[in-house]
Amino acid sequence: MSLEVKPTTRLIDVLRDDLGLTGTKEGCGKGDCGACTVLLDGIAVNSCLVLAVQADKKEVTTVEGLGSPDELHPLQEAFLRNGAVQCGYCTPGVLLSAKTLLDRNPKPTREQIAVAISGNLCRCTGYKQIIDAVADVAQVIGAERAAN
Amino acid sequence: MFPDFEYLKPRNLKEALQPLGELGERCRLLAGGTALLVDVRDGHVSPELLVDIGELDVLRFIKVDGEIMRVGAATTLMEIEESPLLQKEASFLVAAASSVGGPQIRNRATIGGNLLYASPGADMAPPLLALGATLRLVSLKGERQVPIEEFFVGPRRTICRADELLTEVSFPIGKAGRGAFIKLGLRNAMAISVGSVAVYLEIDPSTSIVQEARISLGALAPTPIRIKTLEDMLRGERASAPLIKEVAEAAKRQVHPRSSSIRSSPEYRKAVAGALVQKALEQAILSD
Ligand SMILES: Cc1cc2nc3c(=O)[nH]c(=O)nc-3n(C[C@H](O)[C@H](O)[C@H](O)COP(=O)(O)OP(=O)(O)OC[C@H]3O[C@@H](n4cnc5c(N)ncnc54)[C@H](O)[C@@H]3O)c2cc1C
Ligand code: FES
Ligand code: FES
Repeated sequence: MSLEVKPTTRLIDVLRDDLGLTGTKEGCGKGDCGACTVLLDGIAVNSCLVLAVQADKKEVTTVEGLGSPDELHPLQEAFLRNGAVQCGYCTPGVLLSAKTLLDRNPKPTREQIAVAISGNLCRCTGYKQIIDAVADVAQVIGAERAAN
Repeated sequence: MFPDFEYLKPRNLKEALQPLGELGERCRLLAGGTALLVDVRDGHVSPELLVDIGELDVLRFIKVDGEIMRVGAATTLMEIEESPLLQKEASFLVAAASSVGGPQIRNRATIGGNLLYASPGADMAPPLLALGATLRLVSLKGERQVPIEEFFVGPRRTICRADELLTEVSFPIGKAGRGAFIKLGLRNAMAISVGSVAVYLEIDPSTSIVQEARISLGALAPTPIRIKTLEDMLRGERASAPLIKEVAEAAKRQVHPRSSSIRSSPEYRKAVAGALVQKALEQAILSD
């Protein structure tokens, strides 16, 4: 996909305003909350602190790329199963932080999960349900690997 | 949307240095952007041009050159955290890198940006001070090597000129030294440091005599600082619990009594300095 952007446009602005991908949320706008987390070439970044031009020729993954309402990503299913979504504002960002963790480390410890989501502020859940959910998927993936 | 600026992605070092030389302060280097873009957003700085050095390969490396470790200025804190080479040679530098922000910040933030932003609590500074690091500053006019001790001059101020660019951070390795980094607030990833300490010790294994000692503090003075009086107390002495206590007591007296740039009370900062120095020395001496 190609778009022309101004140098001052943030990645989050292009995603939400130009592409209508409003799954990515803006909280603080300055790197503190992680609501705007997306993956840039597979790596978690705060899209409020990345210029749109800096994503040139790179792959951007937003929550829209994870799963659809009909076909949820295993992480999304686990979040629902574990009550890890309350208001939901932090959820897209948390899902992407969890995805990049599992892509690199399919069997993380709870401690590693906590570190992976430490840049994502959640005011509702107290994080336990989120960690449960990610651990849940990690086990599923682990079991699948063991089966193969 | 940010306030107005132009954007340049240089293909090499010279293309980055050119606008710096011409525009001076009106031009800013953009490395990870985790400090600069927040400042631009809040109107603290209003550059006309951002020069994006974040992906310049000549500034992104971690390598050993004889007895010297060299880290490129645009190396990210995550790359530092995940480097087996640094884990082996300077694990307390790695610990400091992993203590910064959350993963999203560490994936972008660079070691150079951390030093140049020069916050009193810049987390890469204490370990680099303790490692006796050297900084290489380059401009169109030439280059200079600066010991990191001379680098910081005040909160958010360094000796780096507006036309200069930090290219690499280097430090000696191979002396079988032991290091430790401790930061208060480590458990809470997004909290700004209230105090941190790094120690580097070389101890003779047969006699337990401390041969070299370097101790530095972060966030407890207007700049990250090395505290040579504490180092002198250790050098030439046998590492022992009473000596550690003595040095920790002395650390309290080294903390600036007042400084408007720092958030906490002097009493609290003294207590923090003492406790941090004690813990870090214990960790460095008792490790392995
Ligand atoms: C949520 C959050 C949490 C944070 N937590 C911490 C923390 O725990 N500890 C900590 O120390 N910091 C923290 N920071 C501050 C900041 O992220 C770090 O200091 C980071 O290392 C800055 O690096 P950067 O590459 O992003 O710098 P940038 O923002 O790109 O640049 C910072 C400054 O340095 C200059 N600069 C960058 N590279 C060079 C170079 N090679 N030569 C010359 N000038 C250069 C820039 O022009 C700019 O003025 C945090 C920031 C945020 C937003
Ligand atoms: S909106 Fe980007 S980190 Fe809060
Ligand atoms: S569910 Fe509400 S902020 Fe996380």
